[in-house]
Amino acid sequence: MQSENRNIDELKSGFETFYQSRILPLMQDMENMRKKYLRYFIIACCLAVVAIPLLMWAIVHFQVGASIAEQNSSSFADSAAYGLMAIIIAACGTPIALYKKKSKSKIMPLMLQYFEGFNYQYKKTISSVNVNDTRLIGFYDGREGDDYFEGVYQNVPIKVSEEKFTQRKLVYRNNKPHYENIEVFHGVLILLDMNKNFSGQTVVLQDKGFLNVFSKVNRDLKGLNNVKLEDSVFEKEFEVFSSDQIEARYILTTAFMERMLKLRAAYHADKIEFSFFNNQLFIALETNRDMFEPTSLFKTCLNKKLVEEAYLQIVSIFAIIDILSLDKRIGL
Amino acid sequence: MTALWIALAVVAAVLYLLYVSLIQKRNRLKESASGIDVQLKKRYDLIPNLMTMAAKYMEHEKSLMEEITKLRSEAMNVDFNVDPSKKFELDNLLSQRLNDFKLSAENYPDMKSNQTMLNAMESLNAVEEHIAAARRFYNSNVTELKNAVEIFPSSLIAKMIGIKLDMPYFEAEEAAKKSVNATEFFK
Repeated sequence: MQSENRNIDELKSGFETFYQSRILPLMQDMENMRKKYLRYFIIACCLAVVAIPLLMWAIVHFQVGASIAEQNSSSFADSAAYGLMAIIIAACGTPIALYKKKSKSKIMPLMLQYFEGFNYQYKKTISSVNVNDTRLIGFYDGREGDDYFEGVYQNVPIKVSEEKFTQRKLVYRNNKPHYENIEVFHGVLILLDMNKNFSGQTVVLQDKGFLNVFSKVNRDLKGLNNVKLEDSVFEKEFEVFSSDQIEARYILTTAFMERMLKLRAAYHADKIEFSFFNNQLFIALETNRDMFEPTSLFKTCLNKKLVEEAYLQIVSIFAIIDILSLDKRIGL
Repeated sequence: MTALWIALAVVAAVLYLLYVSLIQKRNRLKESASGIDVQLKKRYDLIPNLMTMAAKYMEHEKSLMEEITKLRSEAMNVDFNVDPSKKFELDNLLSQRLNDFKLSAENYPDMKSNQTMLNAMESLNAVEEHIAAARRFYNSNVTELKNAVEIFPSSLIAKMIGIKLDMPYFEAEEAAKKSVNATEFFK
């Protein structure tokens, strides 16, 4: 049975059998791996608990009461001590990162096999589209992908990635200026084929009332004009900008606006924004939490809860196609 | 004395802004009216091809197709800027007949299986949606200008410079308001 022809309810109900037959055996093997990495983590933490106070004591001890000449000569030793502390802290995080990478690389492709024809890649971003062109993500300097999968659901090609965008900003701490990477977006990016043809660009942003001025400052909306739509409820939730007033109304019919409101209600806790361009729909779903995490170093693999949660997150992404009726080429 | 000059300057600036806003609204309305014209032109261009293709299959709908062709010619000859109401009326009628045509097409399975015909019908649907979108844009601009012309203080400026709302709302005919399910055609 192709995932293309299964609806959301069928996908949800059929997962239990798939979990028991395919995922659970792998999870049993994974449990040994988890225990191994958890051991490494505990050892690293124990080492840190002992070593860090010792190193700090050493730094303080050699500085207090030392002459200026002695202090200069010990600066190299201080740096080495700080470096060592950084290595120890990194060593604590390494088992978590390694386990995440290894477990995800095994479980996610298997989980996506249930949807048939879906490919998974770890740490990949949506590369087929220039994110700047979507105008949904504000100005950023750094971009990091976590999960990426693509395939076809209900005959609609879909690409999904979980990504983080950061901006390098000058901040002052203890009156000292330094640069820090501030997170500007953390969430899921979804690229879908639309069931309509259009040449311009229409951007649908979340309405933040009087704070809208700030969201406009932080993005490039050059060449786009504000579109006032006839649906007052929609106008309350979203702000629309487009390069073509008629095309914006062609895409955002009253029926489509209603569906978008339904989608907004379904993801109410999260910020959801849309960009229509090149006959495609790009959705930015800001969640500020890690999505698609079927395992955790600190939770047993034999508990189905995490896998189920990640699975439902994937299904909820596919539900967007159903809610927006993108599978139907009726133009409404 | 300075205060008086400042007050006069503020009043002049406000009046100027109201004047600019009125002119912008009028121009936007004209632009949106020409937007409808552009979309209607696409429909006029599409109809002859569609009718030629359909004629091969829909022999029993000859009178309907003739009526569509006739309405197309009549609508094409009416200038939107000269008689917008007449233009709307004729295009409404044309929309209704095209909907009837889509429904009649249901009875011709041979035609439904023809890919070229399917593409033409899909194009017609897209054009119809563009027309509907252009009309919504036009109506929203009519409302904006209507409000500006009727509400004080811009109504005062509008009177002074002779701007009035001389373009009607586009209103769908009763028959056109009834939803037509054309999706069946594409199943």
